[in-house]
Amino acid sequence: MKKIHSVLSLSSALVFAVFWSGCNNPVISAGKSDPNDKSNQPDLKRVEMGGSLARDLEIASINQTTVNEDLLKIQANVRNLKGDDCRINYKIEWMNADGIVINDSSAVWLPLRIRGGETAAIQSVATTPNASNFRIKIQKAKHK
Amino acid sequence: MKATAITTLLALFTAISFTSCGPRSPVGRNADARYIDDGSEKGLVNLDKINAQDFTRAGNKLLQDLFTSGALAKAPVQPALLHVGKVRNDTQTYFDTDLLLQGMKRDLLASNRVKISTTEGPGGIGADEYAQDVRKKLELTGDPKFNRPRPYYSLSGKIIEETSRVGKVTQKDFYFLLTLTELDAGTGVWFGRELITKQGRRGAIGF
Repeated sequence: MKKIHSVLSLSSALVFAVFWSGCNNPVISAGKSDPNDKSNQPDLKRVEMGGSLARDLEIASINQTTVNEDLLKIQANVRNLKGDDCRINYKIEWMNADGIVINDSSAVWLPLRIRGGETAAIQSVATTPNASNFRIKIQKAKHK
Repeated sequence: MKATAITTLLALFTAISFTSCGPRSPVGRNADARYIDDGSEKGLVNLDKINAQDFTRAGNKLLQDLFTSGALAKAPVQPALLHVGKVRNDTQTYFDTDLLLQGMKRDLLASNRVKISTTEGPGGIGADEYAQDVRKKLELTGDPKFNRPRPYYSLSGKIIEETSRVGKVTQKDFYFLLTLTELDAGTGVWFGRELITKQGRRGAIGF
């Protein structure tokens, strides 16, 4: 009877661990802490949701400028803190002054490979002058 | 007693894990259809064709390059009238190039730099035939509200596919090439190029 209990406990724990790790692909995100900040290097507000990605990557800084006279352009400098290559998917959502997400073609997950120790630049241009803030979402790619 | 409690607890956790996320057991072996978001990273990745996320990505990158170049801000009258011309599909698969252009037109309009003509086109054929007919009648009746501004810019291009193979690995390169022409001078003011490359042995679900 004891043996059955042990086997059951062990197998249950194993299945639990497999399923827990299988669905855990958290997203880390960052945006400007002040939407009206128009400086070249605005302060960042980071929202990190655990997982190994937060330990592997760092959004080191953000640069912003204006192109086409009135469209915001940003560059997020993402550093791979590990020695191995890291494949990520990222998405940038633009928001207006009220925090409403703008429905444009920026909202697509894009793949990016960052070599070990490298800092990669993720760039995006807002498609409307109404865009004043943004949110960068990063998650691990499916394939390494 | 204690062992029974632990077993029950673990069984409960297992049940929660089964139901909380991951693919659910379908009714019937192949019943696994589901909706995915527009631009999702869960979309199919085919080697031999351009997938939905590729069109969105190419359109977005080309627009970002166009906006960064500042070419649209140089028109003397803002917003300038833009004619979106033909984008030739030179790939091996058939698709409507509006899959690329419609999203770009929406974002171009949102930039407030251009207005897009839907009643002018090559050979006198515009995108909206009904609107074109109505305008023809207005022109004939000499309606004072009728005006026919000439486009200042024209956008055209092509999509090219290149295939290379090494052993069982295939690489597909899809080039999205767009040109913005200023009609007064008849010269190109922006040449956009976006390359989407896929490499692998077979297609995949998600990336």
